[in-house]
Amino acid sequence: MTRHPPSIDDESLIAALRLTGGHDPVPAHVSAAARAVYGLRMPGATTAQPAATPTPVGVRSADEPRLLRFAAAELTVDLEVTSMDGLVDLAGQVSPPPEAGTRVEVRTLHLTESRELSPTGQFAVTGLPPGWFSVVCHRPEHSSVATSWTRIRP
Amino acid sequence: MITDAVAAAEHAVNLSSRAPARALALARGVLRHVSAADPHGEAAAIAYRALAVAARELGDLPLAEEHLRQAVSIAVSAGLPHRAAQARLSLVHIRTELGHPQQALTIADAAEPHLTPVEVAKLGVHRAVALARLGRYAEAVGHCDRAVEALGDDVGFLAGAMLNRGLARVFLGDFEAAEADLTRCVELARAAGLDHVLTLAEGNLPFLAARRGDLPGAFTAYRRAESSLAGYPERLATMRCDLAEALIAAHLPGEARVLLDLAVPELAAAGANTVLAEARLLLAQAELCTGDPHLARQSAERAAADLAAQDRTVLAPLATEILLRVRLMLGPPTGELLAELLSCAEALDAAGHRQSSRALRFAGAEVALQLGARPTADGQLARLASSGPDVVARQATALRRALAGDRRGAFAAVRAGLVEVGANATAFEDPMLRAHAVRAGEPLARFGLALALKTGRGRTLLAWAERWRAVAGGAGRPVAPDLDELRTALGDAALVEFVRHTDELVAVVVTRDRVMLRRLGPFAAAAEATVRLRYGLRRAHLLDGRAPGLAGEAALLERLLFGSVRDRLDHRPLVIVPTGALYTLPWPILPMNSERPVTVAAGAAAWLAGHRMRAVRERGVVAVAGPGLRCAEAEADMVRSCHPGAERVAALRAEVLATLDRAHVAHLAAHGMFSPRSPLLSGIDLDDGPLMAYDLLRLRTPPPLVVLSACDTGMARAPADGAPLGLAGTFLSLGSQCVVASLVPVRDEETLTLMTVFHGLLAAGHPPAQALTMASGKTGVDGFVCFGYGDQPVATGREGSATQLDQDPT
Repeated sequence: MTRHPPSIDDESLIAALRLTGGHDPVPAHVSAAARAVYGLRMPGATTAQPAATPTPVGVRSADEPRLLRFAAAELTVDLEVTSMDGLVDLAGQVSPPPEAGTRVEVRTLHLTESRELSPTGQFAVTGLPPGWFSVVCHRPEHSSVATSWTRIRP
Repeated sequence: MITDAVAAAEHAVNLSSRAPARALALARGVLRHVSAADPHGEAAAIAYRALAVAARELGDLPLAEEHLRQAVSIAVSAGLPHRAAQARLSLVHIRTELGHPQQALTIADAAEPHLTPVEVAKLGVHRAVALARLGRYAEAVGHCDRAVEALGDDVGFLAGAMLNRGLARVFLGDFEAAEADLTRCVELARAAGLDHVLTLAEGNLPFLAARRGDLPGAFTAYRRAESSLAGYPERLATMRCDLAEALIAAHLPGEARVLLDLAVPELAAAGANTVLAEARLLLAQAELCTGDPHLARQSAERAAADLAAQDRTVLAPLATEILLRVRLMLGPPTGELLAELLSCAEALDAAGHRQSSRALRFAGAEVALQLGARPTADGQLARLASSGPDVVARQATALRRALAGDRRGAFAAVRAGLVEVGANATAFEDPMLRAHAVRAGEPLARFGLALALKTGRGRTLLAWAERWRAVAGGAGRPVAPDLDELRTALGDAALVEFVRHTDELVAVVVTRDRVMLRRLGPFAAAAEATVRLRYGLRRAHLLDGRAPGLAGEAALLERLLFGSVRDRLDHRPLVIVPTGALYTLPWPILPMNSERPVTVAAGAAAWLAGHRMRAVRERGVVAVAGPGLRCAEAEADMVRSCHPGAERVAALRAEVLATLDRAHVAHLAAHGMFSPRSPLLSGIDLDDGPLMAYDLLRLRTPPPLVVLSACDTGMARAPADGAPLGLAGTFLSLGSQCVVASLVPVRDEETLTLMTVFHGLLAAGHPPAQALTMASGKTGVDGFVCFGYGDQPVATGREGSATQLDQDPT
């Protein structure tokens, strides 16, 4: 799992400079992708940033659990990623449990799944395609909270 | 000077595929010197060829082409037809990869008269690539055969010939010969220090392994090839694309999609248009199979355009097929769509894609039925039924008979098909390979289940669910257990077998006096609730923050899975036969199960087989403590003190394996690990490395009772119902009667507490399922499940061992 895209290399930088200097036209698929990404913005949402998860101790597991944590000022989104046959199951919890009527949206580049939170703040979505995703927590009385975009590699 | 320059340029050509960077420097040096000094242009023509081959190795196909065009033009104007032909020889390969295999063959024909016999042989090696891309594999093999005879000791090209022939033979399904070729290629390349050809040959091993159905082998070879091809992005992408094709054929579209998402941008960047078109076609297939019709349409449209531009008529109908299937998924069936389906089936047939054609024709027949076009449907079904024998022919026969009101006949056709699928699957000893091999029979099994569900009779549905589980589990034949025997064996217990029919979850409940069928609603809801519950349980056990409440989720899941059946079950002990994601559910945690013995089995027949097993009395109890745990030693000592005569065994793989073959009860306290991608790589940690499910396949007489006191040891992935793959599943499929294992991470200290009570109860004569329920209740420690047959008390036959509650199993 990488949390951030890789930093720009020299060739990409030069290509970017040529584009902005008007030397080369912007390729059509780049503008299309840019428009698509723009459409994924969540105006007014607070971003929950990646936070460290404690390493479990005292369990009989030789595995690293695939747990992710995102923290904003007043709430935390915990996620667990499981993949089977290349598809991803996402389970998670919003804590402290938010007000009734809160919904979460799991957004991928092409597909958005919406779920009601359980009273204890849990949710799960199964069968997602791997790749970039973000979880948005829509609260009726407060502003939305969105996790920073994260990439899942199965 | 001129001769020197020619020699230097020739040297650069020789270096170009082995050490592209050095070849580039050398060739550039030659070009700087010769511009004035080489009036005939010979050295320049050769140097450009060196630049081209090096560029190709580094993955820049368009640049390679530019250099070769330059080489040809210099040679032609200098009146050097031989040099021009040499450049064209290299161009054959580049044009093929750039998406023009047909044109590449024309270039080869033009070059041939001016080449030496050895060079003609080399040309044959390149022609083979173009022919293979056009789907003309047999011709490709022929060219390589002739090349091998003429090449003599040119190890580089000989290795290339072996490589190309091996690949073509994989496509032809001639796996033995393909493996021999690829192995020979590896040997030649290694002996000659051709690291890069070696890498290419190794890069094809995952493809070969996956094509012959060896998926774990494919993934292992893939990881090796992935690191050795790291410097060659376009080659790496091609390797991923080849493997993806095999994965789609093995019914693993999700895995294939992951590889293709990585490969497509790399291929596009390299200008490798030929492979790119194939990659987009495969991606479209993978997207369609993983439920993404919109993306599948985009990918298929691009693939169709590419294939048309490349004159690749053999592959083009496959893109059309995907576009039609997308329309079938997204829109209502129409007469127009039906006509297109049938004409695409014809085109697929003409291009040699017989399987795809038959599957599409069947889909066409179903559309015809929906449209009320009965004569068309009948015609297509009749055609399919008479041209078998394969799964589609059986399916067509079954559907025809069902339409004619002959339900019995329809069932007979399904059964006959499952017999064939089952017989094919027994060829695989590896349970993972077998579980994937039977998936070809899934449409047929689904048809049988749909037909059974229509009868509304629980016993009929149970029989058809069990027949499929028998095939998937490796029994070889689609046999259902005898219902009377099952009911007698159950005694006061109830068996609940879950069956998934498309998106619906259905349960069959069997008790001594009746068999009930209950429709439970959408499967996805139960699957998601399972994921949520497992998540909560994991968090609770990992103690890594606020643990979510479990009670609400558990109660919801109980409603979704047992609904109206719950009251009927009273306090009966339960035998549960899960389906799909439910294999990962820790059943004892449902509130209704808090005091009830629960056993989870792969099928009713599997449970019954456990019931029939006689107690083995001459074997003892063994305990193993793995490394890195505070409580494992104490736990192993506890087991020894609970069961008189029990032994401690060192945590070494060989010793543990040997002991498992002679123990009655084996208790393993260790770190555990579940591998969802290759469930047979799941294992537990011992002092000298992990003991994996694959290692267990060597056991001849596994212990009747195995306690896997570690994390996730009961976890399973079930590619097909009836074949749960994982540690516990492996023990059971090899002949263990009962396995106690966990479905979540478990805490070291709490596990010791639970196991202490559990073994005390076992020693007192309680059977494992009951002992586990009681121990969980007393200690409040959950996460463990009893798998297999859990009603046989432990009777070691040793002096002092408890046998007072022993009962005859019959």
